Amino acid sequence: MERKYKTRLPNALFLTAAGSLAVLGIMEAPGPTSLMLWAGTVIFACLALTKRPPHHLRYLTLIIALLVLGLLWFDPQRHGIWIWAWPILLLFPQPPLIQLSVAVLSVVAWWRMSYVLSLEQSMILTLLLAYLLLLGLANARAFLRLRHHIDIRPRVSPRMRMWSAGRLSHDLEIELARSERDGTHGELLLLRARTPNLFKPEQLGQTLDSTTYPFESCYWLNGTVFAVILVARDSHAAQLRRDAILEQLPGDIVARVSPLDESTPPILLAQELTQQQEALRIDTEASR
Amino acid sequence: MTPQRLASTWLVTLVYATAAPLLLVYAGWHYLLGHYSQILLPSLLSLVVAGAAALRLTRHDKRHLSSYLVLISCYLLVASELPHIDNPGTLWIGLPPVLTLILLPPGPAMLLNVLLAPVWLTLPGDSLPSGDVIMHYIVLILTAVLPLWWHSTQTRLLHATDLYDSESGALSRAALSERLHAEISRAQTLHQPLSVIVIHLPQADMAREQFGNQLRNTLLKRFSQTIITHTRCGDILGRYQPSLFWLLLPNTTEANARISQERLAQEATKILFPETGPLELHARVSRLGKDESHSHFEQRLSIAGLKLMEPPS
Repeated sequence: MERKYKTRLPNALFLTAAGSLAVLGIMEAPGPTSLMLWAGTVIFACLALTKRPPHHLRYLTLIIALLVLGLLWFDPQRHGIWIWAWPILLLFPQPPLIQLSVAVLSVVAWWRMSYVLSLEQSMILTLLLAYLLLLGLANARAFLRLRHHIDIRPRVSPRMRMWSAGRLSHDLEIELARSERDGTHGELLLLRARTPNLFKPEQLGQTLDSTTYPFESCYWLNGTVFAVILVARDSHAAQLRRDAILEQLPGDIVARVSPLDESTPPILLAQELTQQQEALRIDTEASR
Repeated sequence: MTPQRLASTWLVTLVYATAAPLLLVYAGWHYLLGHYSQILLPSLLSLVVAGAAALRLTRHDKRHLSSYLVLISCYLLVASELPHIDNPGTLWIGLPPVLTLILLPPGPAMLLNVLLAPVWLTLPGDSLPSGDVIMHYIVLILTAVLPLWWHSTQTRLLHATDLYDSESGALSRAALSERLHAEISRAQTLHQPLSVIVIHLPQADMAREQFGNQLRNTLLKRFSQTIITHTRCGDILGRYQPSLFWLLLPNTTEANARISQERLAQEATKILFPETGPLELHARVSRLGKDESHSHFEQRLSIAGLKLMEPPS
């Protein structure tokens, strides 16, 4: 799903970058710099093959920054072009502490570089690099805001009816008001595949999307736990509907049914479900 | 709902604004060294960059223009200086492509980087560039574009999953159509009535034609807020066309929907703008027929909207 809607980069881009780095590695005389280039090749190739989006790889930026520093340190004349990689490194998704380390490493690189330049060139380099780093920082701040909005977006994917955990609390409130007003019965069904597909964690969600009615909203709570708000005329009809859904889901499913006015936040329910062993657990309003 | 995806304005303005006097200093330095032919360009460019800073600060909608101005200034400066540098190594050819990537969106930036590659590669020195230098340039632009490209895919995802219309705050048309589908299915499964009020705001069109977009957007926002505060939790307001809204009322009979319509029209008259007077609603109630299909009902609603928008004869 994620890749279908281009939520991550096409792997070909990473592979091209890795390939070009490899060519550079072949052209390089054996030595520390060629090692750095090969390490870069391996990193980009791994990024192309990994299924996880880059923002989970927190220390990646630091490793790449150290490789860039290595190239500049061992051969500033030949690899001088990499000094301009520093503003770009600030744009990688990274925690603030790593960003600070990248900034410090860029100063080290600049110091090494200014050694081999004439005074005039090194002055111009200092100014330009400082400006580019500031522009990079300005962009990094904008990207940070963007990532925040990505994290709290209500809908997980554009074409699948799959909502985020944040949206669930909002919808639960509305559904509770509606079921009280209309006299319908609503309940929250949480689901987890006992053996989730590691390469395709969204598989259960895709099945849910096609087996539920359009008004039964589906949510992706965390990596493996999904939820559906079931609405029926009464509790008996809800039970029939729940059984019908569970029957259509493939594989071994762990499920939990919880009333809409459950006081435990959905995120905690999802965590409890990851520990749950029994196939179906029902919290009725009377049992609480 | 869409966030500010732009680089922070003050930081960028600061960079541009301090770069302008520095370019003057650079021109002065050439003067002191006696390079009289190289004085003109930096002094002219300092004016251009100062203009870009002012543009960035004052005209938010013209920020791309200011980026291009700075980029072109930097291109000209690098192009004029590169031939004078002796023993350059690979250092300076990396500056233009990285600046392009930082200032422009990844697509146009990569296009410029590829098109201008021959310029940057042949300018320094007298001989043709070695394969080594060319390869360094290629690897730099291929690796540097990755984080920027990743962010642009994320931005697209955010836009594609956005539910709300940015001007009014009501549901956007695609989200509205999906919600209508869901509510129809719910009404039919639970045997409940479903009514929809189609609302046309004639003043929204007029406000834009006569007083500009800002008044229209304020009007639309006030309208959505009023509707949302005066309807039940669970009722859904969406924007079907620029001045046409649908209000979905689940489990509501046609008669009750008419009462709501009257009430909302009254509330709307309290929205007063000196330019347009009290807000006027043209509305029409439609009820979901028994066993009516999703597409048929949606079509009926859209025809009801067209009828509302016809000028009264």
